[in-house]
Amino acid sequence: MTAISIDQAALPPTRTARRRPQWLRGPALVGLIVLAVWVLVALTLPLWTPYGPLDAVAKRNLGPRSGHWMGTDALGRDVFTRTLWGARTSLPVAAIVIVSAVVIGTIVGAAAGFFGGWLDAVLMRAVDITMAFPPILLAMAITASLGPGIRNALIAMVLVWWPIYARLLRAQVIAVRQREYIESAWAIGASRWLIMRRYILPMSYTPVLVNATMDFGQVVLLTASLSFIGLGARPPSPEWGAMITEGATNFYQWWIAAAPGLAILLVVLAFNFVGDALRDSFDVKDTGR
Amino acid sequence: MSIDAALEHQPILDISDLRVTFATPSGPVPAVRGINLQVRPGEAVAVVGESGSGKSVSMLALLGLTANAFVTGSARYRGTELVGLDRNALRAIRGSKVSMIFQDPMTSLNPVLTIGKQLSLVMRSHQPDLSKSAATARAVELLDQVAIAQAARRCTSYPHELSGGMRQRVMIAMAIANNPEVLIADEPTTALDVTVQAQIMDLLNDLRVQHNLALVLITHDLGVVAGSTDRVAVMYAGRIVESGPVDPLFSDPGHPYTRGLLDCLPRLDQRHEVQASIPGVPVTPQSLPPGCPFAPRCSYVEPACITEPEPDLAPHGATVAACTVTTRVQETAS
Repeated sequence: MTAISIDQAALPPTRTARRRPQWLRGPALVGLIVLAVWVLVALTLPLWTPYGPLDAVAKRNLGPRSGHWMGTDALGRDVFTRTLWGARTSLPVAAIVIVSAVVIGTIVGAAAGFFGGWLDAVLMRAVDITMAFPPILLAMAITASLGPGIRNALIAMVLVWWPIYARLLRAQVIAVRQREYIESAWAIGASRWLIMRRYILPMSYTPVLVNATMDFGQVVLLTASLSFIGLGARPPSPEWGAMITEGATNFYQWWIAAAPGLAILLVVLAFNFVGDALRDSFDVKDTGR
Repeated sequence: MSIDAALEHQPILDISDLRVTFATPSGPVPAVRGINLQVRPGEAVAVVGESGSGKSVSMLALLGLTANAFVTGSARYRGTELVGLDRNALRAIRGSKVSMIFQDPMTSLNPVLTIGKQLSLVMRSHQPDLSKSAATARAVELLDQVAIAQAARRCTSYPHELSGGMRQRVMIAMAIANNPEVLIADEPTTALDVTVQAQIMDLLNDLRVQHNLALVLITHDLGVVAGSTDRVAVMYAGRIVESGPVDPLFSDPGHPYTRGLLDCLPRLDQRHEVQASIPGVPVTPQSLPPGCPFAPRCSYVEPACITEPEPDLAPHGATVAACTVTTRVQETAS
């Protein structure tokens, strides 16, 4: 039996406990902690906040002070509470937009890259047309035509955002499709669906995932922008962009706009930190082995 | 199995006048120009030739694996015509009846799946009612069959954890997973160490005998051919220029190209200052000369070879060869 134990020594060790991934340090770790705090706040907010986001709780236009850390706005609502409530709009909206855009982009990009030919040409021209417009402009136009409101803004953002992922995935699929292990999978009689799902997609989706993480911040910003110009969330709902609009009309009460601005800054920066680290970590020339 | 015994069987794979033409921007390129080849159960046939001679393409074409190719002629598996067969029917045959393994095991496995998972996916895509646990059990059995130690534990390995030889064994296990009757091996040992090459050839031959497999061995290595096959077909510029049983073909080759290939084999009993080679480069299918395509490189060339259309296969001893000069010389000698 000693011979067998020597054989076993040559085998790879059984997969050990997961360690912290390489990319998760420095700014990325800070970013992830910031995001985790925001998510936690957004989830638990109603349980511990002393004020409601829509309640007038003090005098109007009070500056920052104890009890009202970010002061009150023109209607006497607590700005700090409203800013925290803003996360309950921005984060889910961004998540829905990104997930929907990734799903649509994956389906379109995979189909275009895998089947090629006229399907590829048609789908990619649709992508080209969409990407020819600046995202904010197209999102504005779509929201305006559907009617203002956070739901329509969300639909508009999905429509603007999916082509990025479609194009990314298509390029990856075309590259992976040429690999030899795909050819041997064909030779062994694997179906197209199996080859797509288990052989091509797992090797193609990394850039899409990395970009999606980076784009989270952009979508948060875009949501705020649409609300700022009155196309997204409408007053009095506590949304960051809409709050900044209110703040802009009360110029000397700087805290009304500064608080949601700071919130946007924190969230976008955090997403960018994480996304950057992810991109650096995955941006290796993989050898296909 | 001897050739005489094999001859009693019907050919399981019967290729006749197979032609493959690629449509390219610069016009049609005839990569395979009418080949005939019969393979019987339990028989090993080698298809030999230089790069670009059409040996791989002809085998890929009959499985419908060539893109942008126009395939004509006939390739029958047990009487089923493969050329022009609809995509799904062809897919059902690929891997389950006629299987293929490729040259480079380092890149031929899916890097993101464990080998056990890959094996069971391959089996379940041909046998949908095979349960997952049954497929896993069969995967272990297959790895055992291709002589991979610790098969059960190896099932959870990823391809990058295996050596080249082991990966080729895994490829072979995948190819035989659905009990095919024909196995096409496209240069299965080219990418491997010399020491491992012999092991892989032994394994292929063992499997051939055990499962009565018809083995088509595509190779450029005549050394591999000598030890392990019954018949040889030599391809040049998309045609078979000589074919016959392995021994007479080696001892008395009928085509100057075959002679050239044999002369290129390094020999230990002779001292060579320079490794022998065939002068010139293989003709490309884009620019075939009017006469015999081998004429520009041939040391037996006559004026007629360049002006007359290329010759058909004619008997030469125990083989058939497509050369007017050598067959005529033989006729006058007898």
